Amino acid sequence: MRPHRHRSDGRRRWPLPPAALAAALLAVGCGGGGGSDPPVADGGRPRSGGTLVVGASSDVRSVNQVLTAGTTFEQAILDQMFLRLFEEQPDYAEHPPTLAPQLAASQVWSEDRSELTIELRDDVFWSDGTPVSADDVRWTWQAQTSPDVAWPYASMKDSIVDVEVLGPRRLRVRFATASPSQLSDLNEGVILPRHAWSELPLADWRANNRWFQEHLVVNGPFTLESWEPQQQIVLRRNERYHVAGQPYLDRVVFRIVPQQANQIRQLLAGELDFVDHVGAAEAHKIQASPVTRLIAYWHRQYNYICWNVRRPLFAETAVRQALTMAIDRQALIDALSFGHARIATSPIISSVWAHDDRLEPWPYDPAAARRLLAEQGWRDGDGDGVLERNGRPFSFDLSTNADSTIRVDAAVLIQDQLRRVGVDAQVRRIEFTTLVDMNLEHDFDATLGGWGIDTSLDLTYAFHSDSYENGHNFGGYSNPELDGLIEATRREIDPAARLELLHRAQGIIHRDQPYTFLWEPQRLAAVNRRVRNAQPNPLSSYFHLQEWWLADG
Amino acid sequence: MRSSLAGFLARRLAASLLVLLLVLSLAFFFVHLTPGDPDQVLLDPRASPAQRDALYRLYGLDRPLAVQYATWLRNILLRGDLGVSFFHQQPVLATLASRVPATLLLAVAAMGVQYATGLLLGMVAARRPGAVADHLIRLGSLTLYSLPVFWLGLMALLLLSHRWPLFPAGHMHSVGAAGLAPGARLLDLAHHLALPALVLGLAAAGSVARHLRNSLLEVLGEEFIRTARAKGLGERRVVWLHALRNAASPLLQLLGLSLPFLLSGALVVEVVFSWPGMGRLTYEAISGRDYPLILGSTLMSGVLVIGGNLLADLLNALADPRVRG
Repeated sequence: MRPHRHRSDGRRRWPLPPAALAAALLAVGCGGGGGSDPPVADGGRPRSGGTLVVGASSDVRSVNQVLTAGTTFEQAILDQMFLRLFEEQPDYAEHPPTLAPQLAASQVWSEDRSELTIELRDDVFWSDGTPVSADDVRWTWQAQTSPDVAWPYASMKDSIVDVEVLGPRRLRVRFATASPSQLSDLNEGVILPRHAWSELPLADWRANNRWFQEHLVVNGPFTLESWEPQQQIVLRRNERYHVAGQPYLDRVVFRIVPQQANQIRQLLAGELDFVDHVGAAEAHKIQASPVTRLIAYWHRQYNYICWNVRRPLFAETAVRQALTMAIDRQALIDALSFGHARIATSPIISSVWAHDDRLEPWPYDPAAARRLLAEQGWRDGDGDGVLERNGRPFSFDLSTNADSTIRVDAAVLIQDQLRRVGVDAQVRRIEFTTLVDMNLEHDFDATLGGWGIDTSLDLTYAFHSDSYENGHNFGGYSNPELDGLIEATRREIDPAARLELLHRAQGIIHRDQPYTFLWEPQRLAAVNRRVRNAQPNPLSSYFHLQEWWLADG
Repeated sequence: MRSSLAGFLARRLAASLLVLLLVLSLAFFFVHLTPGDPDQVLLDPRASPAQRDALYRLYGLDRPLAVQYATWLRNILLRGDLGVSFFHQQPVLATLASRVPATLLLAVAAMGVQYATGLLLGMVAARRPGAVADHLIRLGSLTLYSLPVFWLGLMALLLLSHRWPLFPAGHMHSVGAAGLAPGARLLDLAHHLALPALVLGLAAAGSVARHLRNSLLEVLGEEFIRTARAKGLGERRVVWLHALRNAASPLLQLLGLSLPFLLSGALVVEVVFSWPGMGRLTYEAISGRDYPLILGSTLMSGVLVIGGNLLADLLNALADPRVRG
């Protein structure tokens, strides 16, 4: 898994943490500000039965994962129907996340880590009774990497040279190079049913989406009962799921309700049982209601301003440092997140094991900012309140996506804060897709956005020089020392040595401020009190859904 | 007469097709020239540029725009093939076909509301022009007509669904509707349909009311009405039987012209009420830059709008031979 860009807080996110809520809160430290409601006592043995109704804001493209866009919601739904070789665990606060065996029963690495031999479980069957086999794993890898399918994430399989079938349940994966992300790259994507889906030639996949629904077999806890596009997705328990007694729920209805305000209203009215994204401003309604409770956890996401360092205005490090010091990040959090956020300092957020705790946020110090800018030659010569240098005013556009209220509000507050140090920022609200285009083409002064991060902690995406042309280094920041460190972190397998490299990389980014890091948000989920053992976490809003149950089920 | 009507229709049809082709061609270039790229994978750094290129090759987006246009046009004209939706990954025609019924249901229901309300208000207003009722109706219908439909929809939801939960807050069916008996399922559908149809229909009712009022007033001043009254016919009979029949012909034309209004309104109302029709499909296609689907729904809307206009012309021609000329 790699980082990805956030449209707005509600849309594309990359989920993750703990098995039980208490563990979640401890592990990722649910400190600052309003946290969760106290967990409801789960009251003894889980009860089977009942229908859980979940509010969702978007639909799924396909039941075939390689035909989806890989949004977090799609992943979360498909993970209910299809198993992976391993399951990433939400234990990344202290160390790199554990990949617990799911379809795999055992794994043996060769000494040089170029080969991995996997034995599959013998008790997992597809819903039509066919055993899950090594053939499925090999064929899935072939489909994922086929140019006819053009799976958007195929490059994550670049390091895999071959997947050999050694027996019905035994396979060997050969890697080109050893890297810390070998296992997670292999694990990207669910395993698909070869016997059911190989009938349709790969070249026909992209025009025959419905075919897969008509030929659906699953091996996860749930199967698809019905799917009305843009209305609802209904999952029913898979009677052949290999864990006895699970799932506890008979059905899960994902009701598509695009407007968040409607989701909250329906939740409070008891029409929905679970909503995975509540705006901070609405948290008090959830807490005040006798029927709902709030679950807060640190999201794996950060918001930032990316400065276009290839433009003269932002070329100097001292100027970028001054701009950061001129922005009162705590004031943004207080005004917009009601305590459900904390100041960000690094692209490796504070709830992840490799975050460098020694990094102190740049202080909010408008006087120091003014001094620094003056040292760089920026002075208000004509007394109009805006600094100038060589006759050019310090004036620029600050762009953000119009569909994110919180970002637009933040941009307006930042505009006001910058004005106090003589910097004139014009807020531009831009339609999301257009903004992405502008960012990729480096056609902006400063852009306010957010990144969801995963546990690979590969900083290439936005901070390596190579990502300027072919990647998401929108602002064109380039530091050869950092490039070298990032490359080293991609190779280093020893966690301690890697930690050291990641700390050094974070230190350079902190000093150079190609980004002004703004805030790390909490994710707020709201759940009806009849729902027990709900475990939303950044990996999935519906993590271990097979273990959720209803008190009145 | 029949041949002149056929000739008239043929001329109108040919002109309509030409308009449609022009609209579609303009739409093709506009959507391709809009900033932003299809497929949200672009936004995800996990998708490498090479993979993006591979996907674009599959979609044919790597070719020059003129070639893409020529291919697209050829496929439509020769094979009726609108291409494959990037998002839904199935033929555009099948995707659209699955959504048209919901939109038509909403539009027809809204039209029912529009005409029932419009006729009633128009007649009340025409009975005593200048009276309080006339002023109130004019004010009310102008207000409803001027307000944006999405706002009306939101207000209706706020008041009639959330504040006083009389109607569901959207969707076409309730959560467990699949398990209901056919009759109960139909009632469930009607319950869900009511609010969006009311919003859309009431917003458009004003124009019917105004047209009818003016045309009724004109007719009520005619000599045959005076004669009818002089014969001692009751006022109700005069209005219903004599005046309304004569005043209704502009409404026939309005019927065809309402279609574009209702359809464009439906696009907005569907988004507000989570109604699974073409409106939401188009809205999402636009946000996702799903070019084939955007063009497909443009074509579909174009056909419906032009069909509506043709219908209006036809009704008009049937009612008034002079137009066939």
